[in-house]
Amino acid sequence: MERKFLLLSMLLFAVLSLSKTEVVVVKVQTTALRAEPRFFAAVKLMLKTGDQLEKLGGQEGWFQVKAASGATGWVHSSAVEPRPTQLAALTKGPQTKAAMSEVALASKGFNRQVEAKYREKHPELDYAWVDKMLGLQASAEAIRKFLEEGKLGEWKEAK
Amino acid sequence: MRAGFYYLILVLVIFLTVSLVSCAVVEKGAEVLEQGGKISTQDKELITKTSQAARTTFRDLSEEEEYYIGRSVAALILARYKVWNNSAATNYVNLLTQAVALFSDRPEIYAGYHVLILDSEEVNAMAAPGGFIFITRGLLKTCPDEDALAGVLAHEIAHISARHGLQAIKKSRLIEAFKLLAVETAERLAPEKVGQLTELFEGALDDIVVQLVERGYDRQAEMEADSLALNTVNRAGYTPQGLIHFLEKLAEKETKESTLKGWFSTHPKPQDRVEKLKTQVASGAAQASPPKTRTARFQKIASSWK
Repeated sequence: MERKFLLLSMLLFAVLSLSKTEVVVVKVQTTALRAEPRFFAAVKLMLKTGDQLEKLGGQEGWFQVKAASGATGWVHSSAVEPRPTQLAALTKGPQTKAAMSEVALASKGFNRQVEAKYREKHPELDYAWVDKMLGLQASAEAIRKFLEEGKLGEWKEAK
Repeated sequence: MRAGFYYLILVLVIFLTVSLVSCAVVEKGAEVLEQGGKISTQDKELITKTSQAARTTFRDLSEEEEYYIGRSVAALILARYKVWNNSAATNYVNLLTQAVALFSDRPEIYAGYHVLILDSEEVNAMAAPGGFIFITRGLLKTCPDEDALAGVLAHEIAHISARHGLQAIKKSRLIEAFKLLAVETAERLAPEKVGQLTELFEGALDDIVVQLVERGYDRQAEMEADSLALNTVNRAGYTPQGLIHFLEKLAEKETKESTLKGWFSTHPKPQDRVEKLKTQVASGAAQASPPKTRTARFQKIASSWK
């Protein structure tokens, strides 16, 4: 009986700590789960909009998180937003972010559907360059080289 | 034994419920107590209507919405200017922008930061929400070195990271859009609602384009962008004097040619900005000249737009 009680208390403790986990949601199209809290660290896996991550800790602009797959690593704070519990959404004020995520997840708002409708009305507008523009993306390696060559970032010269 | 197992499950379920509810109770705090007896009906209403009360200002627009607004603002800017299609120069400004953005206050944005060069002699730069940046060939010609161009791009990134473009959207328009979106409970909007929303979208785009292309940001927004840009270039390792040098060149140009459009009509006087920036750059800061490799790569690419 005593053992059972012990087991029960342990389980209760587990549940209690579970209910306190802080979850953040990816708000950008894609971002990397990195091995260290810096942009040129090894990429463990790629995350996409709406992915939920358990927050483990953080430092200067970076969150240490655990992905659904169980992988742990770092994401930049500008790529995620807090996701409070459903019940927390009951309150007004600072919790409004919860509702925002709901809306964002349901993808209701100024979205692809609205753009399509707008373009129907304005066939004179050309989005070809807008789409081309989005493809103008330098690789992480190219950016790293550019900074190193220009003696910038972590390669900047000591003054 | 079996009874003991069921007992365990029962206790667990009760505890889980209690702990979750108590979390909510703690969060609701005094507000719940105030509501007194009405709590259950109020709760029910709040659960279904949360999103209605939630969104009120431009700050409540999601990253995805900001991106879709930005795409169309970009298309509207491109309807007024021709793109300068030089891939070497375009790749260089994108590399530079994406490198500088890493040191900004918002390194990650929905679809990243991207730049196009506009084939215009006017000295101008515009930043649409969501990371779409436009700079003119005339502006590139005015930049004496990479540090100056990095300063200008950091300034445009700052407008985006501080969401200055979205601030131009009329409040009433946003409130109407949020209301429309909140009332619908279905995951997708009904076709007639999409029509209404598209009209509001169109209005929002016009608000932003007028601000970006015609009126320009107010003095406060420009000064804020300068100040944020200075922090960004400092962190990146560029000389803080870069942006100042660009503005000084601009001031020179302004005295020579009094009928310049673009930056001159939409930005505060460059002389005023130089004064303000100089007070922010520590007076003791060395006038460090950029390393040779940086100067060399800039001179090489600059020959394409000269």
